[in-house]
Amino acid sequence: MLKEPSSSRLSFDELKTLITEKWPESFYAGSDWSSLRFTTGCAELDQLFPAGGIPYGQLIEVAGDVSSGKTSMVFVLLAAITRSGTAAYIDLGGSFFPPAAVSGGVDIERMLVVRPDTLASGLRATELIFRHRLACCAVLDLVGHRLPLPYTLLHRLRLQTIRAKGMVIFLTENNSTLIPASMTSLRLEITRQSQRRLSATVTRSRVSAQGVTAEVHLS
Amino acid sequence: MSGARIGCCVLPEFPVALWIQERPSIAAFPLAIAEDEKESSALVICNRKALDAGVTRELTVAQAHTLCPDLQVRARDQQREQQAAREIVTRLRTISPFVQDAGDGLFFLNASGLRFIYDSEQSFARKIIDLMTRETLPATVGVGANKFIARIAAQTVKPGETRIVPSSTERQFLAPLSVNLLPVSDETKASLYELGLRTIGQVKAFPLNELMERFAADGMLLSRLANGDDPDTFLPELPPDLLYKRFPLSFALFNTGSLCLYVERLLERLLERLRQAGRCCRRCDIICRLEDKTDLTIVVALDRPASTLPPFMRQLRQSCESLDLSSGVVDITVAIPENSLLLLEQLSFQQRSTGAATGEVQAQLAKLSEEHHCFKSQLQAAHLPEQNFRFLPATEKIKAERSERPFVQPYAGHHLSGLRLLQPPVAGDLISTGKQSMLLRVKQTLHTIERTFGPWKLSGGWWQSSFDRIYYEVQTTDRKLYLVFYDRIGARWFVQGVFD
Repeated sequence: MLKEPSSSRLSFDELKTLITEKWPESFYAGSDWSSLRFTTGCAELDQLFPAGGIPYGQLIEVAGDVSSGKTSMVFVLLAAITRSGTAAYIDLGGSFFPPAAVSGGVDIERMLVVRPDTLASGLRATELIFRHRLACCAVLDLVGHRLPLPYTLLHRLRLQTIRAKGMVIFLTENNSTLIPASMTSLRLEITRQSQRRLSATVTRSRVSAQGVTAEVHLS
Repeated sequence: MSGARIGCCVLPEFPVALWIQERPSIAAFPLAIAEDEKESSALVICNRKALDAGVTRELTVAQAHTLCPDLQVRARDQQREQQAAREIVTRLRTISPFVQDAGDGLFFLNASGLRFIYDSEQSFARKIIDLMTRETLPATVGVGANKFIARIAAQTVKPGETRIVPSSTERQFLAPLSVNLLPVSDETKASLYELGLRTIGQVKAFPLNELMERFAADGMLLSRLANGDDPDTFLPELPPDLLYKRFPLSFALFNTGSLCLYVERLLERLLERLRQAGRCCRRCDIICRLEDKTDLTIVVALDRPASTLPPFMRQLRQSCESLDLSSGVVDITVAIPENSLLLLEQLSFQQRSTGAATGEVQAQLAKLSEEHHCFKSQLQAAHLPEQNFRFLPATEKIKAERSERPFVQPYAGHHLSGLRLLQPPVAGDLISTGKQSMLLRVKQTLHTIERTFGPWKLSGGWWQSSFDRIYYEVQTTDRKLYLVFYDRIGARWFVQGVFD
């Protein structure tokens, strides 16, 4: 005789407790980390996230067309991070211009710049940075790259980011298919409204609602 | 910011107010506080009556007495002031649980999420005024989106009054106010006056590049403040002795499992308080009063600070495995004896270090590629944008605390925002179509130019390698913004970068 399914079924909370007890790190990527977040300094952008800021332990993609303001947006995030922590910029294309970062409010004294030769080296370098806790956030500048990221390395980086409670920001172009959708928790698409006004739309997210837009004013 | 609301309570002339609080009769006299009782010591602060008599802060006691023979001078007692400030913080905690003492009679309170307790922010502010009035201390209260706005709001009203700055109206509120209210050095304020900038609104309208050029690191701060943004974080104090929870039981408890459940509930509330204050801890003490009137203390110590329950509970369950409760527990107290001042945002750095020095990591990074590894960028004075910075090997760990860094004026164009350099500059071309329109060719793609900004001319002297460039910022009809220059020596156009 078949058993009544509901009698043996665990509730989500029970299941979560069971898994968390056995594998403590298994739920780290989810909303449990809502308390460990950083506020971007832009009220509108922060309000998109239930925790009032972007949770740590995530892989984030910031995408946009040429001159859309995606680099400015990344500088806004880096400015918020370097206020209390440290960051790394993996400059694959050699296009990082420190004076522009300073102008965007980034404390470059608290930022490492790594210029690897290849994409794979860049991913390994990021992994290494998180493993040794050199920075709590790493930006991988993938603008101009066309080849997809090696899945294995990306997966390892994701695990390392979760363990280190870090954050990886991939800076990509709008039409790029470099990163598989399953690998990132959040995708922000940036468009420029005016010279000092950007709009960030959440096109894919596991940490907030999708399709919502926030306006960001550049100081 | 994230919709946060901060209240600020200002006690004007705090040391003077404390003396008047102790002896109200001296309020009728001109009163000043000096560093000590010597005639040669300088005055620290004085009341309105003394100011009206011409007494100012920099004067010595002897000079002040010459100007105002009735002047009552008291020596400053910093210990007493600190004690009074602590007492005020304790009283303010009855209004909001999170209070920060910023010194000199300045107190910040977390005003977020108090809508269930107070009808409005106005009644929250009035509550503070009433509390201070009961203490016979004149106070002003401001409420705003951050500490800066709240402080300015409080400083621009008379004693006993309040001012609320609603969300999204910060810029309008700041615009007509004097630059004297900005928390910057006196030299910076004097320079702002020299530039003809009298109000915060005028500072906001001043080009950011100009501000940065003239005020170096203060330029960015000025810009942010003028826009109502405060870089200073609200850090409330949590005195360790207050961080405990007690639960008396009406029956004796012999089961360690049940004990863990009670501890879990109590600890959860304490950790929630820590989290709200953006803090964490690495140790908690569980004091169990037993039936035989003895105390049993269980210390749960983690190897790294945390602000969540699971690591503490795991450790507690392990400790309880070997616990023998032959005498029942009748009272449980959970205490957090010490909490870390570090912000939650920095929690990742408090994790157990792998022990590797930056040098070793750098060596590993170097292995990944032959030449490129870890750098720290530094700005430097140079004419050409591509020389405005250099990369230094990052041999030391990144500084934990913010340092005063020398600032070098970078590229002098208008739009610095998000500039991405093309290295080396890409050869481009400007083509005239003859219909009063121009085309920009970048990598075989033609863009119609909509607007141009510039020109800026850069040329090298005879002692430098020769260069002669005319820079333009070019906006195309497809809303792309390029930094281009005309190399007069090679008679060619180049694209130096893209504003992104």
